[in-house]
Amino acid sequence: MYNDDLEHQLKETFEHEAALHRDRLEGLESRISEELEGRLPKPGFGDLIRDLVAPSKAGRMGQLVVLAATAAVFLIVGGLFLPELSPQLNPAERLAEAGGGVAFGTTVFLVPAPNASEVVLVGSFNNWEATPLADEDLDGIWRVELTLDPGRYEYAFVVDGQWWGQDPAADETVRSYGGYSSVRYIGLAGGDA
Amino acid sequence: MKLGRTVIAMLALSLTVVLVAAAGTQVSAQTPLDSVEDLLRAASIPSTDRILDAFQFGISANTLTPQDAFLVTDRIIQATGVLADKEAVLLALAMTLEQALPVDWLIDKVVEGISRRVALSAIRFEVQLRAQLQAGVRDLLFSKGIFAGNPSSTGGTALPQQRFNLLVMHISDALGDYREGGGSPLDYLSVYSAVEQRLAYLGGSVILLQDVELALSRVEPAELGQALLGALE
Amino acid sequence: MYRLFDEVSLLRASLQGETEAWGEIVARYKDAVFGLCLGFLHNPADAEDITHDAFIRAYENLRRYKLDKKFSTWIFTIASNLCRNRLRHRRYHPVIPPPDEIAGGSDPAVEYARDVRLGQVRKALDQLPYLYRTPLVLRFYNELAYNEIAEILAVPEGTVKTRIHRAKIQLKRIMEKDGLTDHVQR
Repeated sequence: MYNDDLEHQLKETFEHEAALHRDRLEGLESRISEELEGRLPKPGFGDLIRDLVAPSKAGRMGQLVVLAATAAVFLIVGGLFLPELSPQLNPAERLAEAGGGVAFGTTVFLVPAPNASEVVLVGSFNNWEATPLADEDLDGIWRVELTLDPGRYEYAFVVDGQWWGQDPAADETVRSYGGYSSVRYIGLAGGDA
Repeated sequence: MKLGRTVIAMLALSLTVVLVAAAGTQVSAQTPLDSVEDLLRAASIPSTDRILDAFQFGISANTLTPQDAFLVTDRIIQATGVLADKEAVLLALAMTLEQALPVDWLIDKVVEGISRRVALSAIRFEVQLRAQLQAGVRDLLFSKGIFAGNPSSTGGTALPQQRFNLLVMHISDALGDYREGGGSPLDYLSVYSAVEQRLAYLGGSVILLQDVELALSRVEPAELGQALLGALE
Repeated sequence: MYRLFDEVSLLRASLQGETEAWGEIVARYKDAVFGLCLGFLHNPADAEDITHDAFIRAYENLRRYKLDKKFSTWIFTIASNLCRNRLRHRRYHPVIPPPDEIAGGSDPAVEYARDVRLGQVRKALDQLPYLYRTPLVLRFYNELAYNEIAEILAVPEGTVKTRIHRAKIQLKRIMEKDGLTDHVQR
């Protein structure tokens, strides 16, 4: 496994550093067991999302609050659970489709917005003009697939006129004009070494 | 039977290609620079001639397409705002083109701002700053001998203009985003890390890895911070 | 009680709500997860938080874990994603790394020389971009194969190899610049 001195030194450095701080892990297993013991059974993330985005009678403001809550939950958990919602969103699979980052296939964009009547995608790939998303199976998740050349793309969703630039499936999020834009890098590096 | 289907499919494909090509020709015929001129003159933009000259230069230098020229001019003219702001945004683009620097990312920033319905004065500020920033980054990389056209550049490693410009553009964009995200130009290590992160993402797909390596090895954190500071002053 | 259980039995028991069984999973993987987080973030307090959170998140989502996959890959992916999110939050508010704690040791002369050398490697690592540091940690601390690293970092295998290759070149360059070449022969 180790081809040269540097590799040995890296291993030694990582191990040494971990050993220096290992006392922080003292009793972690009991702490976690106790923490979990004291909880009620947790619903799966899918249930949580369904609860959050369940159709409400609260009207437009209610929709926005629900959307904001959903966005916040998504933001907090990052891309961690999203592959469960839509396997196509997993960056590994997106990149696998690319055949090592040379030619790229389809990129999927999706957003949960169960009470929305119109969801569009705007970004540097469409001159910030609306590309509509669809929710054909009425599960509240709107989606669209685009074929993009390798590059860096900024984008945002617009849900019933409201901009939402914090896509948890994004590679990065940047501030733009006081709001947020999401960023996807298409065709990340591969095979140049 | 199968062969027949294949022939039909090929004919359909050829027809599609011809139609698409014809449509493309028509689009470009509809958006030459004279349409841009019509827009500028109808809006009474005082520096129309300079802007047109710059656009023309950009088209001949392959840093601008007639379609983008029309798109951005149209959006700016249609946007709500005062004439001075419209002209200033167009001039920021024109001055970038005059220096043969990349303008795509600035056009994107303008179009995004208009699409977000941001006040034109805010778009003006952002685009002027980024244009200024790009000129500063160009000067910095030039001084490091990265551009092949620079007499003091170090032979084998210096880059032709297109690759040089790609680096200049992405470094400037990373710096611009860093500033917009609230980063301080004086926090040199964070400035450098923002640039490094961007180039690491793009290396090997959009930018050649050796070009990323070249830029990162020659540019110091403080120099990037100073380039950002220079644009802010 | 669960110490002698095999991993699959522990995971099954955990799914039934046996939190002690999960505790045993934590005991088995905590060092590897903590080392990963520490290598990624270079901040012991953050690494400790994320190690804790990763095991909680994993438990909460255990029903999503597929037994035909390696558990280590799954828990490392969760930890890696949490590290990335932590990094996003502090991108513009970088945490100043703790003072160099590499010092002391039982055999002063030998220990000291070794600590200085490792401290220098660590300093060079600090200067590497996050994207290059992470595959190094997974490869040389967690000792994972390229395909596992690719799965955890959600990039193609070719990219992992490229990044490790480039990371090593950059490290050598940084160490040369800092006059540390004596320690790196190749």
